[in-house]
Amino acid sequence: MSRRKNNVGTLFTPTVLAASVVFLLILFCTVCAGLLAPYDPEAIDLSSAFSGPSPEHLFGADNIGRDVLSRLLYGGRTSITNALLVVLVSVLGGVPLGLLCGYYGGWLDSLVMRVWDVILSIPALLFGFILVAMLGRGSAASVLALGIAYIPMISRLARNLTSVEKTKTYVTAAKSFGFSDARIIFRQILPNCTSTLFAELTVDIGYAIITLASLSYLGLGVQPPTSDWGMMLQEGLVNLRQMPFLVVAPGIAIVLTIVSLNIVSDGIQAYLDPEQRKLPSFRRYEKKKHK
Amino acid sequence: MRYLRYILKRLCVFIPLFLIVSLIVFFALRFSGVDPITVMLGERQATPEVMAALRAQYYLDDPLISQYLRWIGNAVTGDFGVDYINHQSVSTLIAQRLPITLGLVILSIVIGTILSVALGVLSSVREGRPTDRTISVAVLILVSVPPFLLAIITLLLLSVFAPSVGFIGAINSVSDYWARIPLPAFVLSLNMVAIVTRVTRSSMIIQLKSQYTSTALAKGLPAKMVIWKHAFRNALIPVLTIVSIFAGTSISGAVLVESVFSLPGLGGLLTQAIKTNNYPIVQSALLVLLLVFLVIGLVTDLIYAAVDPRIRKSGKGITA
Amino acid sequence: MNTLLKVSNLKVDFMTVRGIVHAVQGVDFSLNRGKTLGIVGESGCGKSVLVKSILRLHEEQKTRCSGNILFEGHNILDLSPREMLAIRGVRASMIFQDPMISLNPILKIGEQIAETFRARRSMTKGQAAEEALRLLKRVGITPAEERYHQYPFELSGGMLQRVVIAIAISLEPEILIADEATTALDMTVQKEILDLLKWLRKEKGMSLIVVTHDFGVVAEMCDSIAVMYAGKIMEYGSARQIFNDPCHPYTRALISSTPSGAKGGKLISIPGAPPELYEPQTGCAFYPRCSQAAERCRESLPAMHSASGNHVFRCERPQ
Repeated sequence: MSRRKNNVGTLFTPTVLAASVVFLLILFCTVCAGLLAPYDPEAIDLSSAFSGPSPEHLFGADNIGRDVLSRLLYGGRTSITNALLVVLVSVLGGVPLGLLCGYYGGWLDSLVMRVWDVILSIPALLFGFILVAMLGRGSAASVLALGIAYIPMISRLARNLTSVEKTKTYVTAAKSFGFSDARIIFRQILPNCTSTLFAELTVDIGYAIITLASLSYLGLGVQPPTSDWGMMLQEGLVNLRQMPFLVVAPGIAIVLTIVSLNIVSDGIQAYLDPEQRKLPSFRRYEKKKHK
Repeated sequence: MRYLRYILKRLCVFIPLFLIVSLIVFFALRFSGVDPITVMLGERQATPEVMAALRAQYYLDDPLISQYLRWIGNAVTGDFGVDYINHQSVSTLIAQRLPITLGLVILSIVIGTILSVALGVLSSVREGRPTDRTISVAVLILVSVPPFLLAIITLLLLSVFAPSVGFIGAINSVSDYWARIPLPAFVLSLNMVAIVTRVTRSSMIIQLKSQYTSTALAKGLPAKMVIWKHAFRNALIPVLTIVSIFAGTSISGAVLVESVFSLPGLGGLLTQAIKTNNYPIVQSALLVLLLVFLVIGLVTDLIYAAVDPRIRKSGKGITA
Repeated sequence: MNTLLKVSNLKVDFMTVRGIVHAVQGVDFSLNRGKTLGIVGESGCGKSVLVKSILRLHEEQKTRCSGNILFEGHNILDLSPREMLAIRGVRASMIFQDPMISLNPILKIGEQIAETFRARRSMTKGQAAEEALRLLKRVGITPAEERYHQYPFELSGGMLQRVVIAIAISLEPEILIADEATTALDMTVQKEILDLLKWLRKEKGMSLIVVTHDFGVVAEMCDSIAVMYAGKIMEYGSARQIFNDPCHPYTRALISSTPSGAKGGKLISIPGAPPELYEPQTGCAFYPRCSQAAERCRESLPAMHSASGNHVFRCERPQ
């Protein structure tokens, strides 16, 4: 395993570092929603409906007086855990399959890849619709549906990485030591693919958040009383004219989460492929060097 | 001649692909475990005779495969049967709503392609300079905003700055259509702009660094010609690939954007039908949307081959 | 004087992910009208970078050039893009190493010649096509009418290099730069291409700059020769001076490592590889591979010494 070091930059550029901190902060706040949220997100208090920010309700309250901050935290918990579950499903389904296809090739590989070709010719959200129609609505069904919808993409990536890795010397060496195929695949090849897979998965978490929110927005995802950012958007849209903030708050939450994920993913990719990295100007480079 | 042969080859891939996709759509719904009869009856009670009559009317006692063949056979002639709940002609329902979705999708692809090509080429020519960096940041943010959120933001901005612009009501005339479609189409295109700009930029950068670009410069061509006639035409191939993939996202996005802008398109029909398990509508609306997607893919393949002589020779396309 | 091109103290730096590469480190030479200059050296010694800067074909953001490239008194490095247009193709043009990637893969061969005539000579479509066809015939492409409508992937490497030459000479430049123009081709085709270049030089009175790692090629073509190593010119002189009386150990090593240079003697390859040019050198760049190296070669940069007349070399311990 070669770690590509060079004297222009590392993985943790200030931007990537900032984005990671933002994402981890969002993750922390939403996972700990139970501890941080000042109110029960479903507690109705008609007396404070549409109230603006106040010491009682930091982000105000919605049309039926539910605390926006609490809803944002709990909604985020649903959005992010579900997105992580989607990615987990797709990794569990896609990665082993991709590794096997890439390592053994042959008819299994051709068959699986042809099937993926067909499935990938169906847009992800529409495939999600098909699966939601099949599995029913609700949180679990939409997570499973999207998880399955993402399997082809992940397994194809894992397969392509594996078929490159398996030609490398360390695999030949491992074979000559008489290691079992399973050991070579999971202990030797897989660790060498993780960084690229991780970059892809980071983006996929973002996509999953968006798609899950889309399904919820359309009423096909999580069902009341559970709520996520997508559903908050849908509810907020109804009250757009009275209180735009009901749309703005979950909107900002979604965008912030996804921007930070995308920056991290871009950072990993740039780190893995130095050719893509932005070069410093001569002046900046030389100034840095003289220090 | 060669081009004609290429078209035939692509059609040979297109038709089986369409059939397989239709199989997936049809059988996925049959395995949902929802009994069509309960959907049709809703809250009502019915005698076994009535239920048997309904089963016969919808051929539900036939083997699945013959049900499929009947559906797809009729679908090819434009007949999608009647729905489970209101017993309306699905074809009519779709025909009323298709122009809106189709207009939205096609217009957004056209707007998106033009915008992103312009931005991507500009960005690549100015690689590393402030223009490029600004575009990159804008693109990164845009890529992170889901289309329906962009639509909501647009509505929000409109409600603040132009409260008189209405987005509710039926579309009854061509002028209604052109008043209501372009803005949602533009909003829908923004996500695509973000991705395609990125692809155009990186593809252009590769082409601008390639040796034939140096040849073109060295022989004395003006920079504009080198950029557009040489580099861009070569860069177009990956761009077309991503555009055709993005057509899918555009179609999914259209479903959402329609809902935000309350446009009576296929999206609303489809989601309502999924919620009520009204499968004749679900399967047919999905089939039509997927057909739109596959046709867009076919068209990009044909453009692709028109641009690149090597593709014409090999007969390969972007889609499977 | 008949000096067409005068390069003095040219330095070219590149920014890369691994740091700054000092590809050309202060090069001087001049080229007279109708003459041929050979620039010889192993790959990675900066020869391509050097000649590319004559046409300013580097990515401007990542490159820093200093010094002078005087073309009839104008410094090319100071010209505006518009003024560069008056140089490229018209005054100087270039042929690249691999003909397979030198042509636009999706345009017809003929179009790639004709477009230049339309853009720069304001010819009509018909005139340009006619002129392009004539040019194809002149560089020996048969059947020209058929080839005109073919795409690069349908032609062989030798044919493509002829097309590339046709493109390069279409605006009748005064200087033609051939950057390893024959390296990617097999031996017999190499010979044909060199003959074509020689014929063009005679017919058009063009000046040539031939960049190569092969002393055989320069022996056949050049009036004067510059031997380049690690971004510097190590030895410069007339072809006869360099061949009969090579002063720099690197020149001698290069000559005896080519079949034509060894003249029946043993082929001796040079051990080691050229240095990477990330850091400016403190001593002679060739020192680690030199058979005559001494301690002082490592410590100080050797100066240019004169052997006789124009013949100069950069070595403190010549034989």
